[in-house]
Amino acid sequence: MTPPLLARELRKDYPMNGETVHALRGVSLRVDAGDYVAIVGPSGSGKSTLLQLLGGLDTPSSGSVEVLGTPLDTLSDAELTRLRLTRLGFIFQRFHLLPVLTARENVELPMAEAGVARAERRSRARELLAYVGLGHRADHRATQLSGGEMQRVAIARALANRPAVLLADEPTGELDAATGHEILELFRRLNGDGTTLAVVTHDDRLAAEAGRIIHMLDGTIRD
Amino acid sequence: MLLTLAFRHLWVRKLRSLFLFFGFSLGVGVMVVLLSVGEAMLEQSRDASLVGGGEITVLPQGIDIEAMRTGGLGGMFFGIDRARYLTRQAIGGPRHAGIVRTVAPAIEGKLLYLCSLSGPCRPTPVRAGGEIPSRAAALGAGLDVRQGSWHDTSADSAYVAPTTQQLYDELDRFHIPRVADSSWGEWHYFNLTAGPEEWWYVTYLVGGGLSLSPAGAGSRWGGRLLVTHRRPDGRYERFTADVPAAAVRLDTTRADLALGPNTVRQRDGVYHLHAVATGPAGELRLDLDVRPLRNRYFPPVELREDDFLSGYVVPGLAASARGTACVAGHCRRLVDVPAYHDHNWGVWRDVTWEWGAARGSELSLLYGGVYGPERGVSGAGAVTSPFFMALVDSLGIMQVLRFSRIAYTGGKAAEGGAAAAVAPAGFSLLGTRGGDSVGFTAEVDHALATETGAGSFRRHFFQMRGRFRLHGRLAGTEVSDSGQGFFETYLPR
Repeated sequence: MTPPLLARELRKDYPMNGETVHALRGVSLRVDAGDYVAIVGPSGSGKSTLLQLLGGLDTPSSGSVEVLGTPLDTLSDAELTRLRLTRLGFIFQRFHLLPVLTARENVELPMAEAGVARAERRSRARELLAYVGLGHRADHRATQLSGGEMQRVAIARALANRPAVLLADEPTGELDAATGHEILELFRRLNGDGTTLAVVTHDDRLAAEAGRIIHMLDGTIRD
Repeated sequence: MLLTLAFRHLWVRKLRSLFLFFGFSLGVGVMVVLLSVGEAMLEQSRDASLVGGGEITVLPQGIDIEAMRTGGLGGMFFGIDRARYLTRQAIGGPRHAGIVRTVAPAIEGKLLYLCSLSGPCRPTPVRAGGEIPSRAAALGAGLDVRQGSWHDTSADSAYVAPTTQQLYDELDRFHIPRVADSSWGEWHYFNLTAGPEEWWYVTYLVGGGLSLSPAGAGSRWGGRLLVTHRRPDGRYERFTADVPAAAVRLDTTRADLALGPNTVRQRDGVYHLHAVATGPAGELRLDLDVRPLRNRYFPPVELREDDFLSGYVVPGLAASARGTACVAGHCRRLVDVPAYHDHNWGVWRDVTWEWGAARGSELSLLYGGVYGPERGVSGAGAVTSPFFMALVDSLGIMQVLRFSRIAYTGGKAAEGGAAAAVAPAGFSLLGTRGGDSVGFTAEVDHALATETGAGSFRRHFFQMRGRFRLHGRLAGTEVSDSGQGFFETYLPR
């Protein structure tokens, strides 16, 4: 069966002050459908770089990434954008919600971009907000929500186009312990409902929920 | 969804939206203005009525435009002598009425010095300009004054579009000499062709040390009427009338002149002549109306050097005259006979000239040149005006050509008091200018000789009448005409 994510010998080098920084040094990874993978490691170990390459947000210096069997380096910019929109969901540490839109409109936005009809996307947005426990806050603007609520809206938004994999980068990094726990519970429920997750985190509790933990150090995986 | 996002941004961030809106409006406004200017320029460049339009810069002869711009001495002391003629005839006259809609004369950057009316003069240099308000407005370049008004004065109107009265007064006005000079003379000259063998020369002359300054108060001067009648039988009659200075009335703004009872009065382009004089044949009485034909005039020209001055204008290169001429009580009615009128002024001591005025079926012709006072017997003169030949038709001056010499040929016994005076039997000249050239030949039928000068300056002054032919090309067009004319020259005795 074709895995949602497959990375082979990823290398990423950055020029910096006349020298080359080797952020990734030949990382290979396979994420199967239904997996819950936590990527952990100290700062500068390359975990966020790995997540960006897996999500097609950046291109490797060498190696390849396949999403549902499609090599990303064979896609044009427009095709890659379309793939990110419809096959991958992203959750960021700082939520990146549009403050002038309501929670529902934020969730609708990726569906509107994907061409989903207005009635359908409105219905699904309310459904997703109810799923993350924010059905009663659908018509509040993002600025009127708490940090935990904003992250739950961001999770609902990431799920909007039914992605094959949900990629999360430090999803509890901006939240207090209690609120972070709510997100942890939500992720557990998501995975239990069949959502494939790849999460970069420093949060031991969140990592402990994952079915597989990948430790990174100096741009390599240390299992 | 994107529209929702855009409008929501505007609604939620009202102050920022307002600021951006005004900034955007300002940008759009500036762009609209720039596009409008560009569009206007584009429209102007395509406007058929403006094709061929533009500025003509006229400079005094010998003055460089850069010298004028940078405030050279030329900007202070030189002027355009015939700027009015350029405006009215050369550019804005009837010849170009089909292609020139309006002429807006303007002077720019003229260097002037200002002095206070009170106290010692501490000159302040200024740059000044001027234009005619109505003409500038006709070009779309009129001033939008915030206070007061900007309209033509009567002087402005007289400059660009004078009435007939103003035009001929301006052309034919009298002059005051800069210094009292006993050889100063200024006169109205008319000639009339009463028949194939009969013509009249009529001269109203003011002469002597005319001066309005206190230094010249004691100078002797006065007026003289001089009439020469060439009778059909070939005999010449002369009539004169002298008047003292007190009986002379002249006007530096008008053509009118009174020498006692003998008068010239110009009214709406018609010269009313009244003359009473005596001669061997008895008393002469002339009452004539001389009417110059429209556009057949030649503008004033002056030749100056030190105290020498010679001025000349032809208000009536072709004219018609009617009235009565009575000699010893025998009167003759003249009806619309061909006539000519010019006006001369200057110092005339030892001055001679070449001159001719002729009239063909279509064209009028004028040629001439002045020799200054130091011209010797050899014919070389220290001061000479350029020889010119002007061709004029019903629309005004067609061209002013230059020529270097007149080739006189043959000999013909002249009449008059000078014994054994021999006038030329004929002559020719070739006028050229750029690609234009016109050849002129004349055969002298009659000549009248007058002895002039004393000592080394002894000359015969010949007044001749004869037939002419001209042929040539002007602006690529062939011109040809023939007719009769009056000619003058001086030859050594």
